[in-house]
Amino acid sequence: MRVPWLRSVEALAPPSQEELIRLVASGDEAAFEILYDEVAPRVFGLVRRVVRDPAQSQEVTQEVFLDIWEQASRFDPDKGKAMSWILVIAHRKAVDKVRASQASSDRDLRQGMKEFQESYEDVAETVEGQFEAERVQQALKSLTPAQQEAISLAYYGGYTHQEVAELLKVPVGTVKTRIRDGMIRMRDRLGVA
Amino acid sequence: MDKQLHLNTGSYALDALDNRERVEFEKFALTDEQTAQEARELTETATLLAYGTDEQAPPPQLKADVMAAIRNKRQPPNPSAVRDISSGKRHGSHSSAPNTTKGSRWLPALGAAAALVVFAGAAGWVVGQNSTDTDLQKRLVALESNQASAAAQQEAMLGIVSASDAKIATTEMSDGASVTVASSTTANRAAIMVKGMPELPADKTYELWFISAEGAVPAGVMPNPGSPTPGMQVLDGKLNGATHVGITIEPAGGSPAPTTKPLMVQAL
Repeated sequence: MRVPWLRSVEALAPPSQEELIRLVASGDEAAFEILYDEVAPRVFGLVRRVVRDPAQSQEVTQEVFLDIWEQASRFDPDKGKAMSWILVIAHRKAVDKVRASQASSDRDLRQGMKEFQESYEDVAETVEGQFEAERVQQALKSLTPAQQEAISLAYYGGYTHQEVAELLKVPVGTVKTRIRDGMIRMRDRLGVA
Repeated sequence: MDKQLHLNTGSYALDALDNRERVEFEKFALTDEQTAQEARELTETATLLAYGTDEQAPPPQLKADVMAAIRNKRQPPNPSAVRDISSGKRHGSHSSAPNTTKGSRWLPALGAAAALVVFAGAAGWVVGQNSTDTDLQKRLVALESNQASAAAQQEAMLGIVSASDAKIATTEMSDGASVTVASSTTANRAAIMVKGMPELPADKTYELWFISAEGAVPAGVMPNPGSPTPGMQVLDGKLNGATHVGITIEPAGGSPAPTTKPLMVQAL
């Protein structure tokens, strides 16, 4: 909505992403646009990694932002940060897309392993992402190779733990344990809790 | 058969459960707080993995498509959400005693007891969180029954505050004035209460507006703070989908369209 005066009265300081989402919840399109500009590259980057196909990635990204618009009133700042809420939506939609459009048999081990390599070696190029990327890399390094592998295949590859088990030729219970133990260690290392 | 669903927290956090497993796990987590807690923490942890990917700017067309798409999307109303949409300063720093000097305007039309009932007990009247609660308490305590306002105003006011989707929002302005807007989509009306607004010269007046994407619709003029008229004023006319209420300073008698930049704009 074009109400040009809005911005000058509405914030003495630039709005946080949490405030932007609150404004979005009341239908503020200008706030939504600011939010889009701030987070779209991070969302799109994640979606592209999981979905891979450029056209499908764009579709998913659009769905993510539509969801943000519609569900903004459900965001509870007491329960976490705005960016986390957004990335959870983005990852879930990306994974759903991948599973809907690809048969499991298409997704071979070599591709999965390649994804694991890429994700592990990735370094964020932007200054803002650098800090988080470093933290992630350090946290991943504190895991066993088996844990890193299971977590990466699941998160970046979009595989179910059952599929990961089939790819690695181990029982699904083993995959569950590797994932859970690894995530708990990361949680503790990153100070989430 | 013990499925050990609590061991699925990690997979859940990475979206590595299939749909059936996800539903099953979520149902289980509702019954087990420890599992729910771990699931929340690991999900938060998982979002950091997103930073292991490169940012990539999507094509500009995507933004245009998104902005166009949201214009057609109604947001579902959330009647239980507290809309404490204060812009600018947070009004948690409201520590002064209720202001009964000539800058303040309270609700005189209803008797104190009736007003208390209306504000505190009306079905669906959603009182603001934290500081707005305290504000409201202080205002109620300071109620004076001055002039009676028109019966129509009173009725419209009651219609707003007793509606199931009534919302209240306060804006603090940089000079210390505050404006509270109460509105209801089902009652299709809004009301405003101001405190501490500066007096204007005789040839000027405050004017109220309903604002939407189409523009600003006049919603009545506000008598100067110094004059003895009711402090809470129902805006003339219907909400009819307005998204904001605004106040501008206009020549006495008002204008058909705003001629100055608004002093404040409050999202409804």
